[in-house]
Amino acid sequence: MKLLEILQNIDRRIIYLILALSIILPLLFPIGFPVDITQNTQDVYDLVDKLPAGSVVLLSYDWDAASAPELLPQAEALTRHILDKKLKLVAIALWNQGATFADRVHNTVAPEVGAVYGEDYVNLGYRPGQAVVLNSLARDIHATFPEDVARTKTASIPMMKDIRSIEDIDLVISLSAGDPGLRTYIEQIGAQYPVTITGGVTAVSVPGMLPYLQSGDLVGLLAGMSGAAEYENLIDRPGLGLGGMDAQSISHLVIIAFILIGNIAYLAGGRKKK
Amino acid sequence: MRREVPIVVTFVSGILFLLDYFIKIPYVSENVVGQFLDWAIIVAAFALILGAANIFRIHIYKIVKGKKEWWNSLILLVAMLVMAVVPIIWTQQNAVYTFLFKNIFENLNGTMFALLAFYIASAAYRAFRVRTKEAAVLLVSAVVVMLGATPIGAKIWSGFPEYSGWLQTIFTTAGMRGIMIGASLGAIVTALRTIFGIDRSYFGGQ
Amino acid sequence: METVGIWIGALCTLAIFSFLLRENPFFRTAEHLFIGLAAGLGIFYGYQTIVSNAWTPLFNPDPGEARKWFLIVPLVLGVLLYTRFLKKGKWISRIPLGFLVGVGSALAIRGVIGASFMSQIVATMELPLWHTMAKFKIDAILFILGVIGTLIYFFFSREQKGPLKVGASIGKWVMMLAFGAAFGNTVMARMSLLVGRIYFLLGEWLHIL
Repeated sequence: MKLLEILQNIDRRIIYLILALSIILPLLFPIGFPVDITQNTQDVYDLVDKLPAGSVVLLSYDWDAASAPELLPQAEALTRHILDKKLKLVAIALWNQGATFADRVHNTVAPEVGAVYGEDYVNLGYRPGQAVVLNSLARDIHATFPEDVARTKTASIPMMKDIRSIEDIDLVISLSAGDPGLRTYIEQIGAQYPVTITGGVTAVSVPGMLPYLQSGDLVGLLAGMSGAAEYENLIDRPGLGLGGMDAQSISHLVIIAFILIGNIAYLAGGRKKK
Repeated sequence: MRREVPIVVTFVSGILFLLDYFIKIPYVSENVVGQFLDWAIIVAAFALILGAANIFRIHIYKIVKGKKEWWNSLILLVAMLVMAVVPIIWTQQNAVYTFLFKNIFENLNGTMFALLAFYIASAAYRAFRVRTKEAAVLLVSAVVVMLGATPIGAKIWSGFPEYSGWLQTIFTTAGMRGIMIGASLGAIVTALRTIFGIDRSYFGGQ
Repeated sequence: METVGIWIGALCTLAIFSFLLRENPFFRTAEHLFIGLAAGLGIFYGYQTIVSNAWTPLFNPDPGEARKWFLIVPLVLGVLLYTRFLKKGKWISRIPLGFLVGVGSALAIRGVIGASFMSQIVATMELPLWHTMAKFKIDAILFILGVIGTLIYFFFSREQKGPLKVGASIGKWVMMLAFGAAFGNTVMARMSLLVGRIYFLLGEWLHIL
């Protein structure tokens, strides 16, 4: 009975410590579980992969630093794939921190694939207004974003000369940590214009996106860090996503163990007492 | 006047955008709607600064009155000014801005939310109790999804990713769709009440 | 400089994590610093938008570009937002607010009606009954029952008895499965955030990865 009592009253600091270890140890000693590709990730990959060179992709950074561990690796993998395929990349942001992350992703990826700013990719930055911004850019990108993040006139950027409204965009990708984000794109752009919408979200947001996947309003979805890991696998460039998957695995086991221990103690002893 | 003008403005701008969705009104849909969209972005930009102005007021007051831990308010205001002024003068690609963003802001923001990982672990141990049949179903579903989404699940039993996928494709999607349809009706009604001036709570009480 | 930055970042991270032990002055200072930086970012992007989308096209248009006189309206509306700090003129701030709310509400309806309402109903109705969505032939039947059951669960216009009660009960179980999955997804997201932080501390700061 003593054991049960101990199990019932584990100090929260011990729980914190075990959880931290469940992440630290796999990072120090990687196990390297193989990552399987889910259909939703494959669908996103195929959409990008099948676009002919020169097609225009709008990549929207709709997240902040709090979700960076999930969405930064997604952004990097997607950007690498897009620029590698010689597609034109237009980055914008519906969350203000997104514009800075876009710069960082570009600075990492562009030199590796030999992409040139203004010809292959551009960062138009953030504008406030959420749904308003999307309706506005669908009509006129140049009026919505008169300047890019370096304050160059959008009209004077070579690749933007022919990219003026949603009709010039071939694929919309929103990486989103909530609203405004992927849902806003589905509702405001997807429902009104004939452009395909895809994206990546934090794992928390996945359930809310599933109905749109089934109805076809959304095609393909990267789900959190595991989505990033799968995409890294597909483009054969291991990064932050794959690096974290072992830790992710072990920490899930630990959470499940906590739930079970809590319940064993409860069912065996605690229930009678109360 | 004080009541009517804001309500009329809300009504006119709301109705215009609603009509534009269903029928394209010659000239108006082409010019006025696009113009209004441009305007809304600019007004929203002023609103963005308004939030900061509020914070500024509160903390200036704390410093002037020498309230408890006033130095924290001072730190806040200095951080705010630097973070605003530096990119305003030298754009967001400036080295000082990048330094502040990457090393301070990002770490603070990220860690703030990483705390939740510890709380969810503690809650899993303390609060996730199988008191009812409903809770048992919830528990099973949660465990299957947690194992199904990580590589270790497939190692333990190849069925985990499969059943996790099945569970989410059928039941999560169905449940979420039901909720979504209901919530959409609610959102439409609320928005209509606002446009027609029945619901004025956004004016801040009255 | 990079090393200094990483050390500062690590200190910030530890200051926030210290909250796990107890509330303390370091955490409070870090919290204030965070709010200050976030507000500063808001000011910057607000200013940037006003200049690029209104001020420049109105007062400094490019040679050859027409001056956009109409943009004086949103500039005035924007300034009027600040009348909320006045005692007497407070109500004036409701005019620009009304404009934003009017446009926002209408766009909300436009968005919801298509993708989140009609499209969801249509997609449910279009499903063939005997159809494998993920694993079994009865998937589609389970799915449709699930959607209808969930809707009935939130239907309060009549007392829930007879068929309504059965429907609501199906809805309840489907939602339990859905919420369980949602909990699983939430755990996944939270763990990712912690992985990110620990990755930073061990890798970039301590260099032991």
